[in-house]
Amino acid sequence: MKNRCFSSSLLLLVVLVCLLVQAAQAQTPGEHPNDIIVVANKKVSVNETSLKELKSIFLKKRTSWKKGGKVVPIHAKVGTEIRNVFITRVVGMDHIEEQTYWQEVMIKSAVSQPPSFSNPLKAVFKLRGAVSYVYRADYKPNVSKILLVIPHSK
Amino acid sequence: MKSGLAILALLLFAFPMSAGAQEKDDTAEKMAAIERRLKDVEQENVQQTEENNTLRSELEQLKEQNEEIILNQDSAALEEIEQEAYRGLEIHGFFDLNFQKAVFPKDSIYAMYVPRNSTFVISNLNLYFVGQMAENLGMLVETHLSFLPHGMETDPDSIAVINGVEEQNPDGEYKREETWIRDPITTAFHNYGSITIERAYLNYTPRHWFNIIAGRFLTPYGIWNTDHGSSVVLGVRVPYMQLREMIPSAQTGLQVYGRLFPSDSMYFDYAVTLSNGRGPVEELMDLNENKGLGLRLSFAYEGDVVSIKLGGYGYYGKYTDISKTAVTYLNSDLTLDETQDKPLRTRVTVTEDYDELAIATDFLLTFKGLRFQAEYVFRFVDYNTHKLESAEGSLLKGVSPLVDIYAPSHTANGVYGLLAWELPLSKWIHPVRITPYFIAEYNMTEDTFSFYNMNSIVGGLNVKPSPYVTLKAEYTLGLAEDRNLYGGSIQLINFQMAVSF
Repeated sequence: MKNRCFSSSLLLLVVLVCLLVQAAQAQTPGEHPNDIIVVANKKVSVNETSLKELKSIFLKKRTSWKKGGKVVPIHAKVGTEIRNVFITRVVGMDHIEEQTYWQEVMIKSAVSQPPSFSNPLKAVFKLRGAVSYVYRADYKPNVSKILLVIPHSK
Repeated sequence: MKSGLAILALLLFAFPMSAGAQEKDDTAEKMAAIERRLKDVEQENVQQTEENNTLRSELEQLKEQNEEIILNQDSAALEEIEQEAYRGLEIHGFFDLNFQKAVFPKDSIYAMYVPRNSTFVISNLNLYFVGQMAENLGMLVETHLSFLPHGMETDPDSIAVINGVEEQNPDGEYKREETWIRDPITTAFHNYGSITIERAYLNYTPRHWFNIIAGRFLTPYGIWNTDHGSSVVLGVRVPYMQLREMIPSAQTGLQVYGRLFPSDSMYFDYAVTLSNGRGPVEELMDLNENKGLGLRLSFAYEGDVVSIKLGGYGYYGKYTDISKTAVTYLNSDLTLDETQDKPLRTRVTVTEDYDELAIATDFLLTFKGLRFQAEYVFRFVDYNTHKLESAEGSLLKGVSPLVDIYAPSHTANGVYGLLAWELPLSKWIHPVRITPYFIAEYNMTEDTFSFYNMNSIVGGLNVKPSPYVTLKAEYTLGLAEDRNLYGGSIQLINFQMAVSF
């Protein structure tokens, strides 16, 4: 009887632990509405990217995905908070430095800066090879794929 | 009797045992029932979870379809996105205003090439028409607008002083182009200028490792030649070896280029060029069947603090110049001589023809605000049909212009190094960038003729108060190899305001 009671208790404990783990997974600690979600068109050939690769893409030094296909970087509108945060954290520039960079690249190589949209998700959905970024709070699942999450930092 | 007693004894003994066993059986049954129930519940849970998962998946699919439907329904907005992403045409460019003061010995031959008096000059006004028509298809037209030929000096008057006696050159006559025209309606005067097509090409870019340019493009050699815009290069004056076109600055033809990434911080670039090569009218047509061939290879490492770029370009081509004469076969009564196979003929004479091989290398190192760049060019010219020297060329070579002399095969080389440091003042004056720089340059334009060999030492300050404006102040000490002919050195003080837009 003691053995049976013990095994029943153990079973309950295991179930409880499983439930707790599931609950913990459902709400990852550190998840923040201002996390930057790097999203790409669903047909993009890769499923992940790195900060260095993103920098190359958004500076137009890299023009294709690693596994093939054209990259189309899409920015949020100039002057928006998310664009400034993204440029600072991924490209390592502020707004003025970014403008200087694109002026120079235009004169040297006749390459324009990436187009910008007020709704980058829509552009990512539409344009093959597109990659952009949104805050977690604005992220809508299913219309794009997530390549990277850049955690919010104060 | 005995057996009856035995049964009684057994009953007496067994009764208490049987009661205990009954209790045990009841408990076991209850536990079994609980276990069964638990199993049932577990099974129900599993089924529920499966159902939940199925429902969740269906919900996700519906959401996805819904989002897609919503996005697709907004077809006008999606159309706009495509138009916005692949912009039809953008106009950019740069121009500069210079102020120059040259200092050199009075009466020096420098005055034939450089204005002695201080002067404002607009050197560059370049317009870019940039189009991205589709994902893989772009175009560029870069034009250079100039006031020239207005003000251009040609055919200088010349006097030879022979044994103290001045002899006027009968062919020499000082001419300065003046292109004034009068508007017949307003009677206002204008002067017309010129437009040079610097670049005009279609750019097909299917992969980062394979792209094609078709049209007129800047030769992909060195750093300065491709950067080329006064708003982005550090100094005011173009390196002398570039001015002397040791490698053609632009070519008309095809260029295949691409980039390979062994890692996120490193890349290799290549470019293969096939063009008309060098020629008196190469922008327009090739005067021989040999095409100019070039190969560019470069390597770049871009770290967080240090970046290095090392490249090289090799060029092989043939230069040909010709003259044409129409030959007409006539009879004595000046009618066409029909007895001839071809009474009207063209006689083509090659007036100059040489093969050339040129090799250029470049190096760029940046470390925090420090920048070091260097370029080296070597050129070998091998004449097949030597060019007849001009009277001026003969004189400079110490030969009488009455004697025909021909340009010899020769080599040339040039090198410059640039050291610059962007001052770490961003904490106080951001976004203004202040960069002092220093350039040293050595040039041997021809190993058989020293007149054009020019070395220089340059010091300057480049200030960028905004992304669109660059201000420069520069001092140049030019040291001709044959300083006796020039009567000394030349000093140039330049100020420049370069604007990009």
